[in-house]
Amino acid sequence: MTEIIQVVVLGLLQGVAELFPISSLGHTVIIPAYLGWGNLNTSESFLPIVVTLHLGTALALVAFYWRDWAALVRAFFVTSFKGRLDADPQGKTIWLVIVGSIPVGLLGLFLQGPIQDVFFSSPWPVLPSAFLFLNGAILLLGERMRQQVQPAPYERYKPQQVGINDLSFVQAAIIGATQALALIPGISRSGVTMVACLRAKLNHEDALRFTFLLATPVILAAGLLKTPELFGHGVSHTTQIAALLGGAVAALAAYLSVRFLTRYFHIGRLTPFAYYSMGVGLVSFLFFAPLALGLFKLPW
Amino acid sequence: MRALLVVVAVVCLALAVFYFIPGPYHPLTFSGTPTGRHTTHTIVFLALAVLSVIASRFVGASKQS
Repeated sequence: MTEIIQVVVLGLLQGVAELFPISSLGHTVIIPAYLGWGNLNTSESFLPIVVTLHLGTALALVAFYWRDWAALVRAFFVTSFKGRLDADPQGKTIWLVIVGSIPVGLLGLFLQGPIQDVFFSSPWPVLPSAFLFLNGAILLLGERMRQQVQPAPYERYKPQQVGINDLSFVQAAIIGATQALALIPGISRSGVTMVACLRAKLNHEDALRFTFLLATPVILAAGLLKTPELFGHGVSHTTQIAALLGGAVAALAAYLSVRFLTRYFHIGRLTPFAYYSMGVGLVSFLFFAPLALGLFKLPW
Repeated sequence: MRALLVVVAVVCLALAVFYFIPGPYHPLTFSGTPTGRHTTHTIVFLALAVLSVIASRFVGASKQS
């Protein structure tokens, strides 16, 4: 029963934190450590559970953007068969998403193992806390740099911002590569991708849309490839039920989050998330560093 | 560019076969044993090979038009 409650809490955290630019992986490591759920973090089934939660999030993204995805999948087949990008109105967009997904796919394939070894070896999330602080700094810097390149009033007639289809394939690859930073617990996938999109002169709404379009195949693929581990040998029936329940909670939380964020970024900025990440990252670092050094023990 | 994409496709296909065959030492693998079959690597490289072939057709079409 305790495991089910733990995983449901993680599902709620994952659903919200994956799409808000505040690092879901960071939160799913830091919060259990605060609550004294260290056994969950270091258990064999933790990573498959996290992946199932990611799968729930990806399904929520597909559900929210289903019209976009239906058009993009159609565009993929039309452009592939006709051999021309302009054979479909969404032709360039789907290939920008594909090109943007390749770097993070390859880097994830080759680097996820060593990164997990480093970050999940300690029961105290000192490094994820530090990287959560760094995530906030990246968001703040990205927002400041965007404001600095705002055109002067007399230049406003010039088109300064671009749409997704105006991106080049090199820009899409660079934006996609920044997603790989999210392999580090504490660094937010949506956060760093949005900053990269803003640097490419997309507005906040297009940046959010492209970020979620890029995130969906990666999260979905990671989930699908790892989910069989959840049903392998050594994983208890309770863990399987808990993971499925957690995935459902993550999906619901993610759907509500993406609805909120698409409205928020009509006028909203990354700044509040930057301050949140820096605050939580700093407090967590100051809390967990003495624990990791053995200076005191958790009373609970 | 088209020739480059075809070369990338061939290399990716070769890597997909390499990671599929158990026996040889497979670098940059972190699950199971390095000498085992690595399905995830195989799927990723196979997908990249297919995408490279499709992309090479785009380059060819843009040159013709």
